[in-house]
Amino acid sequence: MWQPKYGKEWKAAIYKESIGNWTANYINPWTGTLFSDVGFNVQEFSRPWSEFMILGSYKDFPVKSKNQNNKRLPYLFSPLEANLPVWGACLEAGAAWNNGDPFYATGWALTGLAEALTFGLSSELAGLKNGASYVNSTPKVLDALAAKTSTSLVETASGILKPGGNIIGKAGSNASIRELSGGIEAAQSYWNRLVTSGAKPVLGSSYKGTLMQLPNGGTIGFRTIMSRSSGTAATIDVNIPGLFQGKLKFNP
Amino acid sequence: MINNLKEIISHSMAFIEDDFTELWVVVNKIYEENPELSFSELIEATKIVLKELIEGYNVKLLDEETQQPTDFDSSVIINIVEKRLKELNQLPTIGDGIWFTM
Repeated sequence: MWQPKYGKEWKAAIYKESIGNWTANYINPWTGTLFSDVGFNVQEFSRPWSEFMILGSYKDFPVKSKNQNNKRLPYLFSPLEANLPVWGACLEAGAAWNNGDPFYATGWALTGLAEALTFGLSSELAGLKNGASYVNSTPKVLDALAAKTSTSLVETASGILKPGGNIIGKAGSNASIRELSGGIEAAQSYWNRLVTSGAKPVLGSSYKGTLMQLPNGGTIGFRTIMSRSSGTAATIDVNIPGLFQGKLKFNP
Repeated sequence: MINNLKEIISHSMAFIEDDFTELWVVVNKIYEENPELSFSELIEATKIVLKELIEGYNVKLLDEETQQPTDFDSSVIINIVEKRLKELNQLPTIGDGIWFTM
C-alpha cells in the first residue's frame, strides 16, 4: 500500500464524466476545505496502469514512472507551465479503478503553485518538474501553506456571485442567464472559488456534471456536457435562494 | 390561479430556448411568483405551466442519455413530473432531474 506523504491523507473521489474529462472532489487534510477540479484531463493508461492517474493539464509527461524493477510508482509532478498545479494520485498497486472509488493523493492544487512559490517551494517544484523525487518535502511549509489557504482565500458565495451587489456577467436572454467570457478555465476558476468554503459533494444524483451543496444553503452544479449551446464551454448552475437562481454560461 | 403566469412562461422559455433546462428552474420560478402556494398546490401549478409550455411552446422532455428530445405528449410528461415532485416532497433543485428542451 502506498503511504501518503506529509503524514496526512488527501481523501477524494474522482469521477469519469466522459473520455478525458474527469472531476475530482477532495479535501485538504489540514484545513478540511473541500476542493473540486472539474473537467480536467486524465491520462488514461492502459489496463496495466489503471491504478495510476495523473490529474490536471500538463506538458511534461512523467516517462520515468517505473522503477528499475518495473514496479509502479506513486508520482507527483508539477509542470510550471500549466495553468493549474498538477498532482498525482495512485491506488494500491494492481487495484482496478472504478468511478467514485476513494483514492489517496498528495500535492496541492488550485492556488498551490502560487502559494508554494510564496512559501519558497519553487526549488522543490522545479525539482519535481525535472523528475526528482519529492520525498524531501517539508510538512512545516505545507502546514503554513494550508493555514494561509484557509484564512485568506475563503470567500462567500455572495461575494463571488454578487461583487459590489450586482450578479456577475452580462444578462443573456433572461436576467438569470449570465454570460461570461473565458471559457472553461474561467468557469473552473469561479467554481473553485464557490466550493472552497465548506461545500459538500452531492452524490447519487443523475446530474451530468459535478454537484455541490453549499454550507449556507443552496446547490451549484458544473457541467461541460448536457448542453446544446454550442458556444458555451461550461455552465455553472446556481440555485441559492435569496441570492441567485439561474446559470452562469462561460463562452470561449 | 397562478400569479404572473406570463412571466413564468417567459422565464422558462428563455432558459429552454437557451439550453437544456432542468425542472427546478421552472418550479422555483413558479414558487418565486407564488410563494403562498402549498407544495401540493405548487405541483398543480407546475402541471398547468408545463401543459402550456408543452402544448403552446413545443417544449419537449429530454432523453438525458441520448440528449435528444422525446416525443412524449403533455400528459405523459406531466405524469412523470408529478410523480417526481411527489417523491421529492420539496422544491426541486439542481440534480433532481427531468430536463426539458425544444
